[in-house]
Amino acid sequence: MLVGRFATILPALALAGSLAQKRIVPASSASLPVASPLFVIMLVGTVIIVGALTFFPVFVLGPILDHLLLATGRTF
Amino acid sequence: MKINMPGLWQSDLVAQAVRDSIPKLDPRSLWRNPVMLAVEIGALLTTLISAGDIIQGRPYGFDAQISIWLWFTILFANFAEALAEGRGRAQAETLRSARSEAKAHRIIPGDRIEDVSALDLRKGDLVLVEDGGIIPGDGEISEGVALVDESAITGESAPVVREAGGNLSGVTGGTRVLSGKVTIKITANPGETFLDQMIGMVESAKRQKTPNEKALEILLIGLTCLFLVVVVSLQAFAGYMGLSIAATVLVALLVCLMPTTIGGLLPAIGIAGMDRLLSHNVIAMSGRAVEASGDVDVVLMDKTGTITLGNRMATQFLPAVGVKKEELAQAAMFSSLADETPEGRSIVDLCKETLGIRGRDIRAPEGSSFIPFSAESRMSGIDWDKREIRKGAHDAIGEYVEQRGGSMPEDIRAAVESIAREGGTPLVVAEGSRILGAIRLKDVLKTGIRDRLINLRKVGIRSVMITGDNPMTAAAIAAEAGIDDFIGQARPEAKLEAIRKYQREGHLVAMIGDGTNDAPALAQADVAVAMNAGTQAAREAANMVDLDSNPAKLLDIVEIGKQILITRGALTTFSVANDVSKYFAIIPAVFAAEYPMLSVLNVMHLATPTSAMLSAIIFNAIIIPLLIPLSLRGVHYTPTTALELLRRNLLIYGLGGLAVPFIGIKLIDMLVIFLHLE
Repeated sequence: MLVGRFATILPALALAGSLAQKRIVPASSASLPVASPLFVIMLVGTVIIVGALTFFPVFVLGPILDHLLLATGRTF
Repeated sequence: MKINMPGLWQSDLVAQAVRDSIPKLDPRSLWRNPVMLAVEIGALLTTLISAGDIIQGRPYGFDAQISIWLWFTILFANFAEALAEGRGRAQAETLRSARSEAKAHRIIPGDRIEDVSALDLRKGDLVLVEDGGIIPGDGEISEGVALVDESAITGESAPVVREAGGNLSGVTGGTRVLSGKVTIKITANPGETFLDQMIGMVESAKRQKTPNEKALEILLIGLTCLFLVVVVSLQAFAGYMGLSIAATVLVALLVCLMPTTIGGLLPAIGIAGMDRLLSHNVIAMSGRAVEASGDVDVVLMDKTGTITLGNRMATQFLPAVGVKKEELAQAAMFSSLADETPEGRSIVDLCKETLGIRGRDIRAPEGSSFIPFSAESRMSGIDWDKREIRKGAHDAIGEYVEQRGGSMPEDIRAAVESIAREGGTPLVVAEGSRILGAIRLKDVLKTGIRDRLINLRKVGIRSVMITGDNPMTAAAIAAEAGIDDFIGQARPEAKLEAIRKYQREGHLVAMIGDGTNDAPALAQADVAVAMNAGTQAAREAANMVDLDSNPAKLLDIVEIGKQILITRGALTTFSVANDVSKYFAIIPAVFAAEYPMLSVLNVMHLATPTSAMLSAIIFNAIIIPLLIPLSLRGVHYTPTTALELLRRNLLIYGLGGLAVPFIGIKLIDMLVIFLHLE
């Protein structure tokens, strides 16, 4: 859990560092408007997919399996 | 000769790429591609496990098949890279074959000439080339003027003038001198010419990673590490529940989750961008420049040659009061008969049209003498029978008639002003002390330039025109061509100042130039394209060279740069989105034996746990060669807004990336069952 939470921050920080070194470009008609519904969908979608990809296997062994076992009448 | 891109699956290139992809398995060369290196470590591990199976007589089918497909995953990625390299090399070879190994006449001290092979020439050597001779290497004319046929490298059949001193002194090896005798100073050693540099650029090992590639690579390594943690912790969780997962299964899961698709195709995309530039006859000196061209948002363009055709055309006669149009036309025709400049010829054409003359060769009157244009007098004309006809800039002609007791009539003064205001160039015609009238010379826009500039604006690139014209004329042409901004009455330093100003504001600036006085500006610009015909200084300061010397090429370069960036983004999205379906294939399969109820997650209804894992790994491998055409050609690009592009590509590569593997894995599963591979 801790590693999944924090170790993945390292490359993100590296990326942020490389972005920070870049020049600031003024907004123009070529800039992507970040206040559009499409951008929001993309951002939320990325967060959900990458998050789901990280925790899906453990999720399957935990709550999902628990639910399926419950359905068959097995409880712990 | 426009170099055609070799067919995508041209058999000799493919065969070469297959051969080249095997040595690339060497971990020392894979080191440059960490994602693939991780796959290779996994493949080694499963291969060892299968070998152990065979030795100890355990069933080895599954482990061996997984190992084979893992090796294929790496080979496919290597193949993509090798194919892109091979195509670049093939194109460069086509260009290189234009170079002959003809003898060169080297000038040695004492003004003697010795014949040497072109390959023995070194930087700084002087060679003599005469009529019909092939220029033995890249260089600069240090003496003389020659008419050069450059069709071997540019495809342009019209010969061009190259001369010492000016901005047109650069010559390329392999081109032919049609007439003239020139001394050329060789500027590149064999093996160091622009083409050789270009060939070096497509060799992956020598290629430096561009900033964008580095950033993307950090992301991919991050994802790889993340999934490594996922897989390791899964093993721990399973262990807690009393299950054990075979190492092969873990490796298969890890490889499926890692962004192998984009990791494998990343080098190919970059190299393919260079290949595409080369097919536009542009040689890129650095990958960084190719990439920067995709982010450029200000383009500096010279008016002449980029926006307008090089020469102006006469379009209208404006006679002075009391002068017949025919008289003006007649005088203008006589003064221009011997004037071989395009402007002069266009005046003659307009005169013929006005006077209704069809004759092909109108001769100058007997005993006439032609006064050529000079920078001092700023006029040209003709003298005969004591008649003196002159045409030229209005102030020069004004002085000329005043010296002879005449004056510039008010109506012509007004006409001259209005022509200039509308973006034309006024010429005034006078005979002796009398002003006959004015001729309107108009800059002719290049066909299609307007549409291209509109497309540039759509993608948010500002176009700036640089011209020596006065601001009034410049404004008129800028308005006609749809230019966003212009710098009129530009001195040579104006370009450098303009670039610095835009860069301070945070813009990325592209420019194209040819002259020595362009060199500082070229060195300053983020994307600097030098024309091949330009001077050596310009070519060295630039980071790309356009073999066709066509300034409008800048627009193609920007489009290719954008295409590379978009292709990378699209394939990354596709690669990550693919993972969703792979989970649904593998996770239920891993635990199927202990917890059969997890089969509700087996939404694809894959036949058996083994076939599910195999199908996922096979899909993961073959998606790489399937995407090679896309990564070599680039994602389809139409100039439109960033939001529109994102919408389109998200729809195709995001949603497509979610859906395609569900279908693909299911189909492969059916095939695996049909062939009894499980």
